[in-house]
Amino acid sequence: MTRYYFYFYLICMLINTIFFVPRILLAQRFDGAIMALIAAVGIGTALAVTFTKSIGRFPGKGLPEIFAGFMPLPIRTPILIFMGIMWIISGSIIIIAFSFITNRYLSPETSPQLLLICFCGICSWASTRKASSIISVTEIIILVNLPIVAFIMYKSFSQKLFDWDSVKIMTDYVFVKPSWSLLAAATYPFSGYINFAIYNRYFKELKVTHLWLVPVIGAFVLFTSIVVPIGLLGTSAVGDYLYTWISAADTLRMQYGFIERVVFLFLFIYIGFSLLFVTICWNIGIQLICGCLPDRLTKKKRSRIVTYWCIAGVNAAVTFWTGVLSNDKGMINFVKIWLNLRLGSEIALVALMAVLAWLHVSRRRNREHA
Amino acid sequence: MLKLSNRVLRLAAVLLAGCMLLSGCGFRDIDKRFFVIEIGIDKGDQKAYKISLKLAIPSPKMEPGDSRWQIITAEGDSIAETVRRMKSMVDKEFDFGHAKVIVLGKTFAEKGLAHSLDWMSRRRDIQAVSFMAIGVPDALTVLRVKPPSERLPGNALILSFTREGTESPYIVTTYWFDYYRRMRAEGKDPFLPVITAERDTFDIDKVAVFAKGNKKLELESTDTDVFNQLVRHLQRFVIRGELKGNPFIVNVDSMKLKYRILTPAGGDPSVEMNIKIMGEVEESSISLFDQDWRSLERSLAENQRQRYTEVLKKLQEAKVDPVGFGLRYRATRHRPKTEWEEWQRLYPQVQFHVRVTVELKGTGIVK
Repeated sequence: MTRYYFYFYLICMLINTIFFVPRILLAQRFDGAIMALIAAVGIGTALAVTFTKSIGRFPGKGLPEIFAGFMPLPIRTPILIFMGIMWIISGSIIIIAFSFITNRYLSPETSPQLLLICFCGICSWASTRKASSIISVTEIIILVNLPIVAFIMYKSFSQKLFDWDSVKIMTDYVFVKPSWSLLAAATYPFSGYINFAIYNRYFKELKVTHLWLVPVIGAFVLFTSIVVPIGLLGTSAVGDYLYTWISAADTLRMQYGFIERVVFLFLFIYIGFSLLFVTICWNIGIQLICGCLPDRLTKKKRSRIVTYWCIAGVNAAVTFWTGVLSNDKGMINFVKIWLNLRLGSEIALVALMAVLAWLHVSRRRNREHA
Repeated sequence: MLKLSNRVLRLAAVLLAGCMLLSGCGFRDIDKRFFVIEIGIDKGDQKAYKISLKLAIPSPKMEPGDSRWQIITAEGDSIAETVRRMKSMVDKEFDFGHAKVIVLGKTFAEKGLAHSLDWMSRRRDIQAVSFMAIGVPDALTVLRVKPPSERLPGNALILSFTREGTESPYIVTTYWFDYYRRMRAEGKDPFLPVITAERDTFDIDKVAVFAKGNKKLELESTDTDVFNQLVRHLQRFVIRGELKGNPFIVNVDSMKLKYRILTPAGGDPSVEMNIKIMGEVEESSISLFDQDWRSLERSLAENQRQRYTEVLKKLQEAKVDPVGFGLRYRATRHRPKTEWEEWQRLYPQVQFHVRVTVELKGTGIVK
């Protein structure tokens, strides 16, 4: 049980410390990014713990069922649909960014449209699978890839040209008030716990031990994601790079390795991570939206598969068109807006869950008294 | 039965889709590609750039002296345009993914390096771990050198720089990413090794130091090994000592270097550098085993101290800072707005206090 919790936590952590978060933070490294990181460890942990404890009060229930017990249909439908869309967007952002990166680094002569179609197709297919299979696949991918992630981290810290002076310069800029967007970016990696809004259904009892690992792993991974690019690419030059972590991985060399450039190893593991992350996000998005559809569309196996595919098809189509029409600059601006909105709605959701958990407990107590 | 075949079909579809990801080389086969292994950039006779590309010709044989390659050259106003121009001179597509060595011509490297290499930082296929160097008399001549022992095209230079082959204390190595990061940094200046082309071989024994994209100083080979120790903390070199007028040479196998920057309120700013060296005697004109090792060590240390101080002063006079004192100053002071200007004012006045301690491990296998 505990291990599944941390799988989801880790996948979100690793994905987001690579794609947009370091880039947003490093762009504003002199304007409060470090403070945002420190604050994010606190905020992220608080949100994670509150949410985990609250949803633990509803064993075996997902968000739609919990809401159904407290709210009338017209209120819970817009909330669920909004959250479903947020989840789907978080997956779509990654898949678009990932198709850009694949197109640039791995397969420059393939057309970007074709790549995006393939990725969207694979992820739509995977996200309409049973949630239990997705949970198992998460375990497999994490276990296969984690040693390689550890190896790359080891490689980067043991790089002879790692410049700690560049990192130390950043200590001058610790006490700067971070902006909301910086906080939003820095807290995003912590939000892997939120997947239990749906996956709570598949566990009889959500009891997570070792919750103290959340801030510890979080702080370590977040700081690594900032410190390594600064140390390898330099305090000033790190701001020049668009794919910060890929460029940082490119500075590593495996002298006697099968392939010399570590960057390809890095890209290879991130194929797995990205596709998995998108699958999870889309799967949850689909399930949330299904949660507010009438029963006849979702109860029977046959009709459920059709509904799933319809939603997956629509979001794959929208993602594809967004991907084709957008570019690097448009994407990062959109991601910033989306992240700001996400932090707000995430705090709101966690607060709502805490209230519902409290109501639930007091209701049960009243019933026992009566 | 129907269900199974359906599942198999779906699996096949996914696998097929996955195969598209495997086409690492895009849709062009390996035999329709030219692998560029060395890039030479010179100042053109008429235009701004003269680019030379060394293209590997794959061959099934791998024998010394059998490396086969061809060089093509073109001039243009920008690197990008010139490379496009060169595409019409060959029958295959260039692949820069294996370009390990980038040689800049001597005259090209003198000035304006800050922006002229922008092409390389933008291209995704230029490796961050490719080696940079200056070519004397020019890049094309260096590219043309064909060492008789070379087994693979371009391998001689690569082996020299990676230290997988030779381990000369005079060869300075600069990776492209390190060059770029130093060029952009305030307080750590870039440097490039200088390759002198000879008839059948190279001589890499000098280093050029840059600041703000312009060459400021070129160290002679006598100073280059000291530079390598100070800047790159290179182990394995030899040091020289003297006992009553009799010189002896010690082979060093480990060196540790630490420094602090002191700025006392009243006195002069200074760099306090501590260097610890361990080694074994490799050559001597007299028997040393029964001598007082303490005085041997002292003589070695004093000699090294002079050499270090001399090179540090040379760098200071040329107003370059490849060691990264400026960066260290910025890292240890906490005045983000002013510290860089402070350091630029301080650096010309800094005193270098180098303390060297040498530990003798032995005298070889004889007394």
